[in-house]
Amino acid sequence: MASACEKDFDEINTNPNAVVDVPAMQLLPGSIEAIADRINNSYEMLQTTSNWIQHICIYNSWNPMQRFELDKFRLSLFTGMYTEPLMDLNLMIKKALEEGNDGLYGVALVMYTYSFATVTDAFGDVPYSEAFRLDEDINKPVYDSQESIYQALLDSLGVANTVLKTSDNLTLPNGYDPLYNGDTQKWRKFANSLRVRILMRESGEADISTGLSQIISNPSEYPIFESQSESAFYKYSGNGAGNDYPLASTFENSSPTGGIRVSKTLVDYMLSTNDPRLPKYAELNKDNQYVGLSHFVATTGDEEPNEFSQINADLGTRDHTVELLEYSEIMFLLAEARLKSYITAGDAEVYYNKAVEASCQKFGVDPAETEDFITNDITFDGSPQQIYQQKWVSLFMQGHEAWAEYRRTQSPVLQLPLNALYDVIPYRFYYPESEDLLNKANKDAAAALMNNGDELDSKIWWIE
Amino acid sequence: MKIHLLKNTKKSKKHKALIIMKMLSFFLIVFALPLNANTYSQSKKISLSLENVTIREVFSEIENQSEFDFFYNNSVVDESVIVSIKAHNKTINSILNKLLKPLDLDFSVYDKDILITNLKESVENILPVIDLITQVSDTVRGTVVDESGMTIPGASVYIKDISSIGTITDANGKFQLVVPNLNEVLVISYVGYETQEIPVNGRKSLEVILKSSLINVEEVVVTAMGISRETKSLGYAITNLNSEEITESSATNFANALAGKVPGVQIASSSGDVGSSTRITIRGVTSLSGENSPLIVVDGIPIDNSSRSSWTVDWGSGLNDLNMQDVEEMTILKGASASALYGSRAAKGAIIIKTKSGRSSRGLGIRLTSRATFYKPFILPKFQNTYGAGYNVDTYNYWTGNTGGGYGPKLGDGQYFVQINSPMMRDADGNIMYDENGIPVFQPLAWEAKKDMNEFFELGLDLINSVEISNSSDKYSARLSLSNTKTNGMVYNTDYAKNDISFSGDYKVTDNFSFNANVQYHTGGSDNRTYGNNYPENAVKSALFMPANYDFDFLRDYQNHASMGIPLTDFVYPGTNEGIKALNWDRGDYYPNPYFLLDNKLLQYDFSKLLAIIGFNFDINSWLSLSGKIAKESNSQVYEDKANDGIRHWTGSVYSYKGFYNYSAITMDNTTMNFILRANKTINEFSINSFIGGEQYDYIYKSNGYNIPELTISGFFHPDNAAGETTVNKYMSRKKVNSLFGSMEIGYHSGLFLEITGRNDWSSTLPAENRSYFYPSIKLAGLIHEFVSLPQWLSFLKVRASLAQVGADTNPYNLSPVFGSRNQITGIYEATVQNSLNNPTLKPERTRSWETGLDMRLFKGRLNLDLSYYQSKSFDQIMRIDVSQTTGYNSRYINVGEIDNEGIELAVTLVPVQTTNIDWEIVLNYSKNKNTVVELAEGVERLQIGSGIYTARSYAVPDRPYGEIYGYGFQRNENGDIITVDGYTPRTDELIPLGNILPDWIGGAMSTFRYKNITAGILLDVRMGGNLESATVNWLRRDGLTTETNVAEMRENGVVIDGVMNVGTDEEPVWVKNNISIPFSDFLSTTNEYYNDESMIFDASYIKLKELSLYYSVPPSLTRKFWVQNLRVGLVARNVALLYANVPHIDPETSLNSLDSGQGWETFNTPSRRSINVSLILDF
Repeated sequence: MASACEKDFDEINTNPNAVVDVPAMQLLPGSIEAIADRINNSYEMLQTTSNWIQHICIYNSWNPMQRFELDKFRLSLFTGMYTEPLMDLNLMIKKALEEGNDGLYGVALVMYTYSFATVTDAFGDVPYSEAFRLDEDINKPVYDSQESIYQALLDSLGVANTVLKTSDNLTLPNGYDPLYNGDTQKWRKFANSLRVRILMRESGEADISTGLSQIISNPSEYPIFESQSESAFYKYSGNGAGNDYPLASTFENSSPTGGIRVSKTLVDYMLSTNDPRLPKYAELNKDNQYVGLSHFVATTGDEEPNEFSQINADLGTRDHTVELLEYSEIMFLLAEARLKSYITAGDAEVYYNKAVEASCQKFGVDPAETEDFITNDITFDGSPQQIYQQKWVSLFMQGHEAWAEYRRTQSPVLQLPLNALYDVIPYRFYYPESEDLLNKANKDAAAALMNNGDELDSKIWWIE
Repeated sequence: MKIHLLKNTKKSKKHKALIIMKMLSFFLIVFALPLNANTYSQSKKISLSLENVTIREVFSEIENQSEFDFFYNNSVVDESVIVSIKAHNKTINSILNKLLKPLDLDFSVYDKDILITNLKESVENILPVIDLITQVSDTVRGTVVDESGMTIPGASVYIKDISSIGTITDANGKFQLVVPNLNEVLVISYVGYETQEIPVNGRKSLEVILKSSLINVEEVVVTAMGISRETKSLGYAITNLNSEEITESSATNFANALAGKVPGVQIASSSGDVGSSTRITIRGVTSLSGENSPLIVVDGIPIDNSSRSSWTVDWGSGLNDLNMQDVEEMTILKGASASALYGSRAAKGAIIIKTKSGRSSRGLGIRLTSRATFYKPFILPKFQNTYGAGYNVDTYNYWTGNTGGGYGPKLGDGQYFVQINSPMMRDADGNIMYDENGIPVFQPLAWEAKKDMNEFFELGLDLINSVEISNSSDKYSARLSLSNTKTNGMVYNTDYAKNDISFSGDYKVTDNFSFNANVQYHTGGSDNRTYGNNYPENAVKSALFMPANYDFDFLRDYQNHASMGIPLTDFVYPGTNEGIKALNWDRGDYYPNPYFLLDNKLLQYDFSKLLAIIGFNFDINSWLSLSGKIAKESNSQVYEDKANDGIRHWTGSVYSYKGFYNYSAITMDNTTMNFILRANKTINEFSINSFIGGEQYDYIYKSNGYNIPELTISGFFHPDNAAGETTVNKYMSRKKVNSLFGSMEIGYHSGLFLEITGRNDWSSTLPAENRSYFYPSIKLAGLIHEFVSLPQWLSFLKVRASLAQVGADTNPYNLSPVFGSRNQITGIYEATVQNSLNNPTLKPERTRSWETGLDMRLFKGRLNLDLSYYQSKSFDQIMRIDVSQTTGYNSRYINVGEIDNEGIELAVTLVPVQTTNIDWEIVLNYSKNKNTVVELAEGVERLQIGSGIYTARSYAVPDRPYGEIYGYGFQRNENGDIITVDGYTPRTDELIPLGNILPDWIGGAMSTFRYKNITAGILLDVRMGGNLESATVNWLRRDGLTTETNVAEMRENGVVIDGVMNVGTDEEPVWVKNNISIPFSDFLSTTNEYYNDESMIFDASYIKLKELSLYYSVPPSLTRKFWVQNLRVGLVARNVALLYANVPHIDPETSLNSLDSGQGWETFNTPSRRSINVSLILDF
């Protein structure tokens, strides 16, 4: 009787709407898009990081994020990174290994490292070693120290460099590798360039000269980006079906009387240096001028329409290309490294000039104008501050990275915004509210290790 | 068994009823009747001369000539048989022998009553009786009368402890019984009277007086699996409503008709939108994971009642599809005990609907019903009409001041400003005038109050017309009903229409085999509905927030504005939307012109439901029968969301104004097959009602749709017209449940009943090792008055108790992990790990409950009390619980958690007056359910159920009732005073408890008063306790739009918040009264603004005058000449008055939708309806 009552049940309960298993490569395009989505959304990039480091400014002085008032539950960077790209990449690493696909394994390691670095840079200590092990019934992963995570990330990139070296190019259908279309050597350059970023980030806390020199002195073993075109850029498809540049909406709906504007801090600085990128960053205001919105003066809501410069609409198209890691940034880092003698190869000024040039090139500045700008307006003065300042300018619309580098270098000097709730520009994000509910003991233990607990002004490890 | 009575002599209706009762009794004891010598039958001589007449006419003739009465079962005697008979002065025996034997019929004569039986059957049955006769020795004669001395025909008389020796009284209340000796005790009983025991004590003649028990103990209800039961035998509480109680309430749907009437059942209407849904919760919330709606069963077949609500649109639910006119009765099964036999799907209770059949009318019956309901909003916010739009009490700037709803200058003070309806100024030549910047100059207009919310809400109309035709004979019955519903919403350009057709019939193929069929088809839909919640597409929200100087008439006329010299507002937004024009989009994206929205954003809905039930019944013998059913329910629903240019919508990554089309087609097919083998037998004082059966349920859900994010040509809704990538959606799910079940009820002396049931389900949704699960129930009911002599005022006392367990399965595909895919890009499958981890070891959910109750009727039924107490424990719940996202998942499925309910239900019926001309009945009901979330998953501190407009959410929290509301509140000091800093009120650092969505108790009071042909009714609906968040109240206050913000002093001079401020240190605070004034708009926004949920939370208690009704039945004497048997007119008002409430501006009986997650949140809902209904019912 029982068996008659269960006839066909297994078949009936087999889900026809989803695949049970996929090869590793199927996890790649979604992961990359998910990462790009996470670091380019309105709340966690524009309204917080870009706003805090005064690239952009938001109308209405009471805007809570302007003065560092943040809702824990709205933070999706942490939760979104773990559940989307990281979970998928974690599985992709396992699957690529099972499939014996070294190239894909290396690619997965690079993206996994990239994502984890973004998470730990924003929060500090986070779960790493026990993450993604629910199948082993680990539902409350412990938090690992940022220091140990950094070491693990560097190790992973080392492995990636090795496996990618010996791998043939990936044979992937069109669009499956939106960054390098299966070119493993370019992935290798991305891996090592990312290593440069991570090493430089921890340079205040760890001795990085050996590690960095190893890369710079041996380009055949550790190739890095050699031009802006080799940067890790992701181009959105812009097909209107959820695959648009997440900030396109902010641009399309930006109102003449409110919303987001370029910050006065940035506009004033760029005006002072005759920066040819300013027209690429900002729109003219109603009086045909570049006027930034100030973080230090309250807006009343009675301002005239388009009194302040909007962000250039070209930076907000639906099929916009976003930066994961660019050549320009690596050159800035090497300029700094050379200046601080972490490396001995190359010349700081050359690196600096290449960095600015690459950035201007990306924004479509006329090469002659760029040269003029580099030669006459921002001539290298041999100070790290100048490098930091120019890097800050070049990282416009890369809020997370700009914020991270600002925190590391504390440059340029930024005045606190009106009614700031903290006496520093935030060092980190709060852990999300969900961790309070679901992994409290581990989260609290991690918070207790910081100088001020789970607060925005608690220093994470690599902040000096 | 259908018994036909022949008696052509005119008798009163009452007498006729008595005869029917008599016959029932007759049959109960017929096996045991002695064939005593009968003087009348031997002495009475009859003469007949009839040719080619029906046998029925022969019987009639005999009845006319004599005092004989014929009794027979229609299945035994075919009345239409044609016979001829001639007899002259013959005894009845000789006539009948001649007449019936050729027809294979036998007969028995009991004094003047003649029973006609089947030849075979009668031999079998009569033989043992004959044995008994040999022992007889004496005859007792007597008369049975009631208290007033009226004789009682048909009363049963038998010897105590030898119930096989008995008889019934004749038409004159007389009986004679042959008894073994004259020392026996006679038991005399009759329905509606108290049973008497009389010792014969040697007497040969007796007069017995039976006392009325004035109680209809034979009340029959439909219980699980469509089995009819006498209410008295049930071991659990049950509530039954008949068709009048449902249709005469004039409620918009079935569920609303239950409001305030059924103890233990909470009804919550969501809003006043057309076709909106209603939430039904029976005896509290039992499931933490799924929804808590009861199972709906139509004629024994469970139908789909899944909510069609979403976060944005309330499309109703399956219950809305049915035709209220088709319902004969509705029974609410409350506890697990009642619903244990329905299994999984009835774990949250069940509503059993029995539809009308042609059997209810003998001969042709036609009923016409027409109902018209007119409605307007029940509760509207009270708006101030003193201050207009703007941020500044001194001046108003049209170009920047429109998002400030009501902080502007005083209206009607003779000021002039450029406003929304200002035309462009023209010079003498008619040319537009421009200022120095080249911008047109607009004409300032008088600053006056124009907003009237009553203008926005139109007079809604529901029109329902139906025809019912029914007929029946002994062989067949048939009923056809047609119904049309047409609804115009209160909100401009919203409607709903429905057509119903249903046919039911049965046909008796042979004496013991019959077919029946019930086919219903419902179809309808809406050309447009309202969008809800906090979205700019919500036209009601937009209208509510129009400043006081706005005029709805003007807004409605938007298409003519250009000709009035008022320019269209241009979009100046950069990017791809440039150049698109929208009319009057001048309050920004968040408050568009509601009329523009309702014309250009269309939410369309089409549905059809086919329900076909075909069954048979086979009487294997007199006590054993087999029935079976096959039923198909096919639902088809098409949802379309159409937007023209200018409507803002989210494409998935950006907001666009370039048109939009979403199409979604859903089909749901349920196939149910069952068989039931029933055995009903009485053995001496024991009655046995039992059945076993099996059922197979197969559910297939399919959805197909596509989403076009932007259109190339505005207003053409077709995939060919897509700009950008069309997203295609497809989903299908299937579930099958096989079951075996059985029930046995044993009754003793019609006073003690024990019922045991069991059911085993096999569900395809569970893993192989757990997919078979069994659950039992045991119920006991005792009628104390049948066994114990009670005081005279207590005529009926029943105690009941039951214990049951119900199991429940899960949704399909929750077992093994699969991949999902991210957004579509042609040519790429972006696989991603599903965010919820499935679980291949799930077990069925369980609910265990017990209940006990008391049903007593006092003072001859003038006061009835029904009291229940129950406890239930739901455990092993299949929940999708959240896990730390650092595991890579948001959630996983596990069996965990326990939720307990405990409650009492009380119904009191009072009949203060009951006379021929006046009936007055009062029914009070009260129920209190105490819900406790006992445990969640280990380490899960709270489980989110729903969320409000901002940070407030509802949670399940251990040791607290389900639905705790948490949110940010005011900071308070140790004395509970609100803390202010610089005059402002900071919010708490953490989410704090702010209330709970569940009521403390609910109740109702109903009174009906009949004077002759006029019946008047009143219904009060009560909910006490619990909370709700009202975003409407909060935001209207924030914008300075409601009456309480109309305070000139505050507007002009600012506000000092009633709180305390700290003049000490953080460590050692010193609290003094706040004395710092802040601007009025800041006061409104900081206390009512984002990030402070506390000021949105209100007590949800209410007492409502829910219904007032008046019905008049025109006396038949006036209508007969127009062929009308019955004419009834009615007038019903619903939502008449809110007698008590603690939340201003809205109706506290409201929620976002009928989902669990929608409870407790009022977010710019369309106000509920206040309606007047006029009805006309004509029976031909």
